[in-house]
Amino acid sequence: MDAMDELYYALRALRSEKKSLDREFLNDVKDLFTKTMEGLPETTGEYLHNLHQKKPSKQTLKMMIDAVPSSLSYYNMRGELPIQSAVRKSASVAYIPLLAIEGVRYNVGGADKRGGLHVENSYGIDRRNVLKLLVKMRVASNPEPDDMACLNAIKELKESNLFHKQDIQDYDLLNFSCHTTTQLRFQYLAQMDPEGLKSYRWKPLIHRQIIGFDTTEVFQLFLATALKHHPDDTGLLFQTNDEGKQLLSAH
Amino acid sequence: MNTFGNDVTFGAIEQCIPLDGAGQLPILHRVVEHAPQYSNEFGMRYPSAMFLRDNNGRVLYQAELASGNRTFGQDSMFFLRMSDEQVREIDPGTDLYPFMVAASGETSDLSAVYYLLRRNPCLVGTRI
Repeated sequence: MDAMDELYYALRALRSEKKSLDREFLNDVKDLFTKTMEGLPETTGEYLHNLHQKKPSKQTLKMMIDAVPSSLSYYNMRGELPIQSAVRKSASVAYIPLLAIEGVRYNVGGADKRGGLHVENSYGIDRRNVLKLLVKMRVASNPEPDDMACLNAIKELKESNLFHKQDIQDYDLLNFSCHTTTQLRFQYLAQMDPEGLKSYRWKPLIHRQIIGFDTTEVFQLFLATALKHHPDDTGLLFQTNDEGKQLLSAH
Repeated sequence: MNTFGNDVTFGAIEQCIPLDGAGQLPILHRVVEHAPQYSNEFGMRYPSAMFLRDNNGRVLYQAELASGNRTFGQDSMFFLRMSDEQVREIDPGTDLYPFMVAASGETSDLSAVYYLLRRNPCLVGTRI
């Protein structure tokens, strides 16, 4: 019998005899358990921040969250929630849908934060929420499996009604995902919102994708995807910018 | 174009839109409409596209006329080269005769209207 079992049986025995116990003793025991319970969210929360290393089954993770719901709202040293930690490592992105679903149940991040998906990181100039990080997360050395893992997480979120078409426009997700290392996500988002390929902050998205890149790969990814959804507009190749300039002559 | 250079840019476009392959897009229609300055570059690469109809059902000269980029003052030869059949062929996108298409749009090209009607004055009275 380990300490956990001992604690369980002791607690059960004391609880069943609660009425007959000495009041002072009972209060001391309550204080003791209160201290234990105070430490539980921290211990569980730390675990949730390290899902990429711990790799529990989703069933186990759900059971842990059910047991200690407040652990979902446990902030680590960086001021991040577990769902924000999970989006930083490819090994833990698969847990994001579960964390978000449970996050909605327990109001993680606040009423309008969709289980923590809309919570922004608290540092840096460009504050990004979990959805933005999920579509942008890339590891150059291992792009394809990571892209697939993130895509699967996005699909699960959509199936759970936690990811909406409007999010693509609201958080510039097509612009964020238009890269060869995130091309599965870009193609999926483009399929969800083909009209979103036309503009980025009121400017043609294709103009945005040709600036700042050394190679034409990103441009080709965009054009090939746009051709699929806008063949009659020949893949938006001839969109003009706000100065009336063509892509071919503007950059 | 300046970002990568002409050859690299067109190389990238060719990767996505195969040269004169099957299932071609009416790319030249879009070029004459939106980027007529690149007509030569695209025409060299996609010559067969000139025989296609676009999503409005237009052949290339109809798309050019409808774009408003061809004016009698700047490119009279475009109008002079039109066959008699083309002069009386109704534009499938607007259901108008070519002289009407030239008259419509933001800048009504009166010289073109006059020329096209001189070619076939009967069109004025035959519109259904």
